[in-house]
Amino acid sequence: MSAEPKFEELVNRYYRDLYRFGFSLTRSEADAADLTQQTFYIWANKGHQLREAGNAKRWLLTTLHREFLQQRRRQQRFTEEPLEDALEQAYDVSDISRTDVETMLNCLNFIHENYRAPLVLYYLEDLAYKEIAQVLEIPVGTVQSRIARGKSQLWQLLNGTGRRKEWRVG
Amino acid sequence: MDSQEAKSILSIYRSGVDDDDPQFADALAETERNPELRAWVFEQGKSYNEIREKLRAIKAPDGLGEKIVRERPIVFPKPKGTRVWQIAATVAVLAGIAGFFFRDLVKDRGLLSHTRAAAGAATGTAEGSTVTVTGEVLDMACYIAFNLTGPDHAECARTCIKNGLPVGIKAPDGKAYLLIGTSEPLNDQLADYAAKTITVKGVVRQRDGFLMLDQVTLEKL
Repeated sequence: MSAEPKFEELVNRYYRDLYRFGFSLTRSEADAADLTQQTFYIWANKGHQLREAGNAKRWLLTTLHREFLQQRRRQQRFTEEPLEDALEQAYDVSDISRTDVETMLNCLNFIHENYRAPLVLYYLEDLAYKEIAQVLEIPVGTVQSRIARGKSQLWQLLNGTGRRKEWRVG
Repeated sequence: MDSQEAKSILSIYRSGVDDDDPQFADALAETERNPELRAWVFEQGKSYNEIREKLRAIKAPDGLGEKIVRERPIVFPKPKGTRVWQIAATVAVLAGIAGFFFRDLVKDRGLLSHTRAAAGAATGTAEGSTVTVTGEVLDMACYIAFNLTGPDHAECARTCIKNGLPVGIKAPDGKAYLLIGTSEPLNDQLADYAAKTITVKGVVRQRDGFLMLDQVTLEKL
């Protein structure tokens, strides 16, 4: 019934990474926790199919992303906002080091989901582009172009190329 | 390669992560010759690290890991030879139903005590007698459902017992006993002995074909 690596060990090793990825995608603590939990339970059911234990993290990230997409399709509750509108709401930050986590996540949330997922993996995980492509199940070239565009969008948002607003450091 | 082209390539370069990626090699070489490009790459890397640190500051809720482990569903393997299992399950259900009616019949006629005594005699385990049994520690759920025993199943059995599923012992004569202490479970004491051979002493209890050792003491671990 139990597969290698051990369930408890796997959870303790990766649940923080999965939660961070989930939270970056959903901006909801409850949704991120649910996604993390669901991902591990899917692993408990199917993880024994893994041939290499070393791939466990990639497998978990892929599964979480799939679950996220499925939930999103089911719920249809994520509204897409054009980047131009997002830029109108952008904050003015002359220095990223002054930006707090909340602002970073707000800006990420304005980025289209197609760009957000690769961008989060690019920043959060030390994965090669090939591995990010495997996690997201898209070609490497697509990953790179999405990261480049996503990064550009994030920078525009963080640097406030839109309307300037008073910024308070959190 | 001009500076603009190098910047385009290096816009997604991560120092320490992408160093061995050949697609960046030429552009990185260009930074050796171009101080302005080198400074640009340095700034990019600084920003990358700052954003990365902020995202990594996201904290999972306290206790999430423990909750996931605690609420883990028990997953039974899909049996091979499904048809055989379906037949076996059907036979087991029918036998259970027949046994239920048979039990009522003998109970009505005051024959239950005779039947139980006969069963005890047949199995060599007298109800209420204290016996010492040496055998393999079983996770009863996996054993009854899928006949899983032995070293290959040890880790799973340990997890199941640790999670509170019934623990038992299988004697060399093939009899499997459910094990309990004096009105308390023995899971914590026996989880690490899953699939190992131990000796226990306890009082035999049996009902409806089930065997149990009650008030078990662990004699040899």
